[in-house]
Amino acid sequence: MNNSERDLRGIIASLVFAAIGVLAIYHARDFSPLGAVFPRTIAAAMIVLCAVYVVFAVLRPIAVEKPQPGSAGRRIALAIAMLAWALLLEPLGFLLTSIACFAATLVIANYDKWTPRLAVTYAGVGILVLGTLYGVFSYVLQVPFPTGVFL
Amino acid sequence: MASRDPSTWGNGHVPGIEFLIKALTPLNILLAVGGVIAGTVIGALPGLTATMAVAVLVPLTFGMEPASALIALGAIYTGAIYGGAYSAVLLNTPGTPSAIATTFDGYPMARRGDGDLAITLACLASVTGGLVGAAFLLLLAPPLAKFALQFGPVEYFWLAVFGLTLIAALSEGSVLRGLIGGCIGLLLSAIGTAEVGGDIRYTGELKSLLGGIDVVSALIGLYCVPVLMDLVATPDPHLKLTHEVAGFRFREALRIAWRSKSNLARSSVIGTLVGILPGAGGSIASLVAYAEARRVSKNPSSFGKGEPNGILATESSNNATVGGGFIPTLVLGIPGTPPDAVILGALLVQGIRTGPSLFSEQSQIVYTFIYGLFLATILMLPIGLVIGRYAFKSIVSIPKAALVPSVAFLTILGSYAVHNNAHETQQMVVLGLIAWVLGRFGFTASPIVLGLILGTIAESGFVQGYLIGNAKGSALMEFLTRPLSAGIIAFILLTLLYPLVKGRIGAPKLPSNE
Amino acid sequence: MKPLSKLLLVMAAIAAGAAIAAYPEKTINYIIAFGPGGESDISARLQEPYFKKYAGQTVAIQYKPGAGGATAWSQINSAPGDGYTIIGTNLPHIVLQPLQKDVGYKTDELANVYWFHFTPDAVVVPAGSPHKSLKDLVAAAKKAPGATTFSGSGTNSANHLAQQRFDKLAGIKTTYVPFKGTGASNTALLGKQVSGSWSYTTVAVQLGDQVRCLAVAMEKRHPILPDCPTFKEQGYELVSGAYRGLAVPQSTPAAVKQQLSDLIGKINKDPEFIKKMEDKGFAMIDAPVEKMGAFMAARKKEYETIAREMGIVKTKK
Repeated sequence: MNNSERDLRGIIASLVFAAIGVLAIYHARDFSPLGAVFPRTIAAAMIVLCAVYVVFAVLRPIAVEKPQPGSAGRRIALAIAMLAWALLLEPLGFLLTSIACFAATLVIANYDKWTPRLAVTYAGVGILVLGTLYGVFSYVLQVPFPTGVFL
Repeated sequence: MASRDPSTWGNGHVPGIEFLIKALTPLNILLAVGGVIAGTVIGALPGLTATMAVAVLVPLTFGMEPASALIALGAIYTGAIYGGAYSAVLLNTPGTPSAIATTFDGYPMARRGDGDLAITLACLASVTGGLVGAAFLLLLAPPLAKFALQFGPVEYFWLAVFGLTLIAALSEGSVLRGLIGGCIGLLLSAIGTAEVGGDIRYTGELKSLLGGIDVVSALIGLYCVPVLMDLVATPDPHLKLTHEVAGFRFREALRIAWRSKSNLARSSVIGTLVGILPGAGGSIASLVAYAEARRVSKNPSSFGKGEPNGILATESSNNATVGGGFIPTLVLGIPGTPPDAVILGALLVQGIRTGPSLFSEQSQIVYTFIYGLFLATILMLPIGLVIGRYAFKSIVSIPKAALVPSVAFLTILGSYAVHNNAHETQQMVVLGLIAWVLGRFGFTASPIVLGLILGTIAESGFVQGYLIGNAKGSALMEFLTRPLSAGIIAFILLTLLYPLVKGRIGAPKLPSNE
Repeated sequence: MKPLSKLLLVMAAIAAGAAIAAYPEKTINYIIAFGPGGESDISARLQEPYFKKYAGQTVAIQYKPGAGGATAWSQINSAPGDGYTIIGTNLPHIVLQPLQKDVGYKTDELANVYWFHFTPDAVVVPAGSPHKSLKDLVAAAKKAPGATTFSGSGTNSANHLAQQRFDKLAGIKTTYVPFKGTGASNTALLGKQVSGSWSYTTVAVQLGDQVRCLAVAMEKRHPILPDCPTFKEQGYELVSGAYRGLAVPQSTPAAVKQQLSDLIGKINKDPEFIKKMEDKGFAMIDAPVEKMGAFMAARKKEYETIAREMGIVKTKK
């Protein structure tokens, strides 16, 4: 962590946030005076803070933290699985989507060699976790889950 | 017994002591045990919050006697607030908003192998805080409720500003980055239909955003999703086990807690007082208590790196808000915290009329309930220790391939159950992915969440104060000259200037990672 | 998918036929468009045991809060129209929301079957307030226009509407300070941060002798608040409040709507139920499905007029 360099990531992020701040102020023009005062103030403060950050980051290099190493592929796969989970809840139904996405995230997270025994164990875990929670919420606590097109 | 109750037991004037025996019926004890267990488990599951625990279990209490129903709800509530510490410590994911500050030191402790100690500490602190809050409820409820009413919109505005200055004080690493994160949270809080003024802001034609960003679903996403992303990236185990899980490490925890008794007492009182303020709640209480503990500490740099005092402060203060929050709920009929709103509704269905007369006219119900709350809080010690140990063991021993999908499912379930709607689930995942990206750019989740929580309080306080001040003649005078406002402003200045006085940050300094 | 959809239609028809025969024959899902603990929840909870008493079936109360109720209302029509999904609806919300913005439903798309009670608007002041009567309050407001402040729940809400209407009726100018929900509005009232509060009879009952009720917007005084005069008695033509009713998905057959309406009507006549409701400050009304068209038309006209005057109508009709 001793390699001093310019905090490029921080600079990029600050510029993006400043741009968001500008957009926020721009959109606030349609609001009523009382509704606009809060977002305008905050956005302006954010722009100033970002500017200060960029100035400091350009002037003096600092020790930059290296991001955690790891498999980018698995991260992206997990992101996709989570997004699918949230988006398919209503069209496919809560239970079906959850079974599919639970299985998908399980496969993404597994680093062991797949053996029949492991597969059976994890299938059992899945049924137990999904079954218990779904059962309790749906039947005991009357949470209305979407049923989807197939049910 | 580890409880250190500062109340005036034994001075012969404990009100309603004759109802203590009424609280101790077998049914009530059973309800308290069941409530604490149910609450703790729900609170411990990431994504399922205390408000939700109370809300989903409320229907089960409608058939009960009023006092018993209240005991059950109080037990669920206090259990859930405590349970939130488990996932904060073991997964770096606050189980409820009240446990946000518990992640600061709880997770670092778990990372170095002290997760079991952290949980036992949380249990001791929660019981202490809970007892202090309940003692205030028993002894000082009516005068404290009057105090809470002194807080008008202007005071809430300054209180929120105070909370925001704490973000700066608490940011690990760069203060600037923390402040920018806070601004992002504040801007996120503006999304949706403005409660005050009715403007529709930044929804981008998305109907699902009309209701705004839900704090709880944002909390789940911002904390849980990055944790999951990092879990799947490497085959390393989630937490290293450095020793045999044998006992509770109870003696060790007790020693630490005893050494920090002033921290526990201070944090419990802060928690009670913040809990009394309607609309503030456990998240702000634990934040204030944490910042105070760090400010007073001889060793402030150890905070954020696994300092037991951090956990003691947050967990005692958030459980103290339970008793504190019941004060305006019972005395004034105004809910002190979000779960209290649900409990107040249950009281109305039960036909109980809250208000100042409740303590005289329906004293039996009130005092039976308060002693029931003491009972539930004390029961939390054995129950919490046992569940905590089990939670710790299972989190460290189950393989990633089972842990990741289970936690992922809980985040989906929890965010759905916030409003029984998939909109919140989608918000949760999207915010979570953004949080992960921001994390890679050095921006942490906590300032964003705090900005989101404080944003609505700050904005409505400001607009309401402005309207009232204008009606009175001058908005500026309204904001600056009310005595309580002036007091809070003084606190804000103290917090901001204290580091200068200490000579720590003399000149403008670079954002660094020390 | 053609044959499948036909099959579904046939099945729906059979289901509907069966429903007519013996409705209800299983648990009814009763959706509340707000969170637990609110007035919509409380009134539904009070109805709950009477479903069992008069229909022999239980109801499962489920919460779908969000966007002031709009989230749930915009989704109700995608639920199956078999009479086993019902939803609580609120006036003026379901008229005002679609007027202000595109919330995903239109007022006429909600198939209301019964309006069963309302919480009348009321003006309350703290118990120690110098304003002993509505007359005092109006006089004070006349003397210093804008200096009298009222807390209320939300912007463009029932409270806000009532404040605007009363200002017009009395020819005064007061300041309305919106709060997030009744709880926060009450806090400001009890803390004397505001001169008074535009609120409901339920709040006046709940806060008891901490507050003084100056007027209620009812035809006659509320039985549980006999000392609180009506606006009418004091010369102001103001009868209004927040109405609560029940709606079903649009696809629900007329016969099922009728059966549901009859069932709610029976519950609404149960003396024990009426007493429980009135004890909490609710006021009973009966607008069954037969009278729904006329009732809604009248309410819509009333709200739209005032909404236009307030300038909150954003969408084109």
